[in-house]
Amino acid sequence: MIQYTLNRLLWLIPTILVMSAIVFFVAHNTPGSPLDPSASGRNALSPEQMANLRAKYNLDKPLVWQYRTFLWNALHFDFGTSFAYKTRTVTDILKQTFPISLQLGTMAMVFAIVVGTILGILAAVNQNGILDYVSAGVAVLGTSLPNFVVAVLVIVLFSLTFRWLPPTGWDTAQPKTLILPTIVLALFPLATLTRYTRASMIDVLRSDYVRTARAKGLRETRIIVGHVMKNALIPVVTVIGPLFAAVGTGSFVVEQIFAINGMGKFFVLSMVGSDYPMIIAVILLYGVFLSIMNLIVDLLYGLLDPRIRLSG
Amino acid sequence: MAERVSPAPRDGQEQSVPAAAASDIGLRLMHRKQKSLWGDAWRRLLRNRLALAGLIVVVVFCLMAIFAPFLARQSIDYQDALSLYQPPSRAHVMGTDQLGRDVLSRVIWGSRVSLLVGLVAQLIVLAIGVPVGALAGFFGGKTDLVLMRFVDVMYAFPQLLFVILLMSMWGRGLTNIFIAIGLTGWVTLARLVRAQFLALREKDYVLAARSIGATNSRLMLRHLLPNTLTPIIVALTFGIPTAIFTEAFLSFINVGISPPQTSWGLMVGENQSYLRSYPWMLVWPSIALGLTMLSFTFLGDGLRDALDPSSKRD
Repeated sequence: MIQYTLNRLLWLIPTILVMSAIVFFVAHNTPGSPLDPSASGRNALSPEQMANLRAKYNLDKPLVWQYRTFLWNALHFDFGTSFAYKTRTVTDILKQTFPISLQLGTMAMVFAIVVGTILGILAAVNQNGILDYVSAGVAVLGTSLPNFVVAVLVIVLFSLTFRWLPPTGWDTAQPKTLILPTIVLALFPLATLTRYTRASMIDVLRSDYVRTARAKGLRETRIIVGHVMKNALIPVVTVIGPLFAAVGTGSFVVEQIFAINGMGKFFVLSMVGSDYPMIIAVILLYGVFLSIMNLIVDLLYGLLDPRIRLSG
Repeated sequence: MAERVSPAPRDGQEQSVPAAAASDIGLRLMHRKQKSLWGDAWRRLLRNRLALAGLIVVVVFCLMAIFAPFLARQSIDYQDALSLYQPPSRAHVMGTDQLGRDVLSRVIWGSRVSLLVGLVAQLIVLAIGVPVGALAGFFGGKTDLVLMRFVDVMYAFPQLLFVILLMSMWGRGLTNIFIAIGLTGWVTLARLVRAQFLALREKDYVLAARSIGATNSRLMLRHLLPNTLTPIIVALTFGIPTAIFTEAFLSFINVGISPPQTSWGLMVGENQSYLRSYPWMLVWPSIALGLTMLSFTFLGDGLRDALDPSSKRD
């Protein structure tokens, strides 16, 4: 297990390095120069001024040097000053907005894992029953409808037509505002988990040792809880990794449409204003965050299922 | 000489069976209705009601996109200052937006972008993913190692984040969307094709073909690729809604299509602030997008079951 853990941990380094390199070089090769006058029709700078500016922003240094500096600064959470909010550094904005996104994301993820797993188990146990069809419906809708479509329909239905829940905002003092964003953000992971849990449960339900357990005369609940779930839920852990990515990108949309002042909303705003430092910082942070989450999920899987760490 | 060693299976069968039995079999074969793989799959697809419904909706949307100039009552950027913010009525079935543009017309125009992105992006994915996977799977060894390390790197980067990065740097526009989705989306297909080629190249029929001197390109194109077609088709049908979703997502967060062109994602994104007061501006494109995505999912599920009955879920 130790070797497996070390192995996976070491893989994190090249992954993050490559990711940062991609982000850096894509950003660097963007058409246009940051030294161009920002207003159209403005006088171009003289060559001397250009050279001075280039030196000030280190743009005259070799590319590799620039990448190293970028990496070094990023390691210290220094992403420079936001282009759009010129008085604030990117780190400043992130410090303020990230906790909100984290809260929303965590709530959605927990909700998705709990409800999705339960729904999947119930569907597998009542195969071809009403609950199975309900969960199949949730799974199809959740995985194929884009979350802003769901958000629009849900707001129109529950906030504008029935007026049960507020259409915008995120305020922990008013729990009612938390319900819709959490559910909309949770829907995709929830649906995916339902699907996987059901498939995995059905797979295990057909295995020989379950038949043996039945033959011994064990009660059905005992079989399901003690024998089937134990083995069926392990592979489900593997899908959780990619779901973090879905929640991350989903939060861009959900925060935007529910007017929540989280990182996602700022990120979308930064894209409208071509706020490159902000864009780079958020993409890099998410990339690293997701790699770490994938790592944790992998390690957890290895911990739960000895076959994985022995073979790989 | 080559002809003698390599009888095609059909000829071989006729020659090896004794004459009397052969005529009998021949007679029965003649009277049996011919069933091809594709015909079988088609029949299975039509029997699946959800897939059929999906197919019909997809066809309707395709027709809508093709004949948009005849169907849309107004051009894409026609503004009528006298009918701003109109709720749905007989003149404007889906209402009008803040610039007095007919929402129905724009939904019709928007279908073009969605379907075009789905198709073109998948063509790019096909053009990159299949060769990379095929070469890696067929040659193995160093080629495989190099190509697959590259694939692993691409895989580690969440696709949507990568697309957002590219779009925010390159700027908005349809061509950029095609390229961004195509460049980041081929990884899954490459892995799929590689796995299939790896498994197939060890098969006896490939060995047989190789022994009679088939060249590598002939082996790949005539022997391995046709047997990989089914998983490729299934992957593509699931790739189309993914691409449509990606475009809608990009347009929603403002790095997708650029006005005056429009897409369903853009219509929802740019009218967000009107959701509370004029919901029809967002509801109709949302419904169109949701319906398209659902239809492609049903169609994809149905196609997978039809082409590969053994993979059918219970």
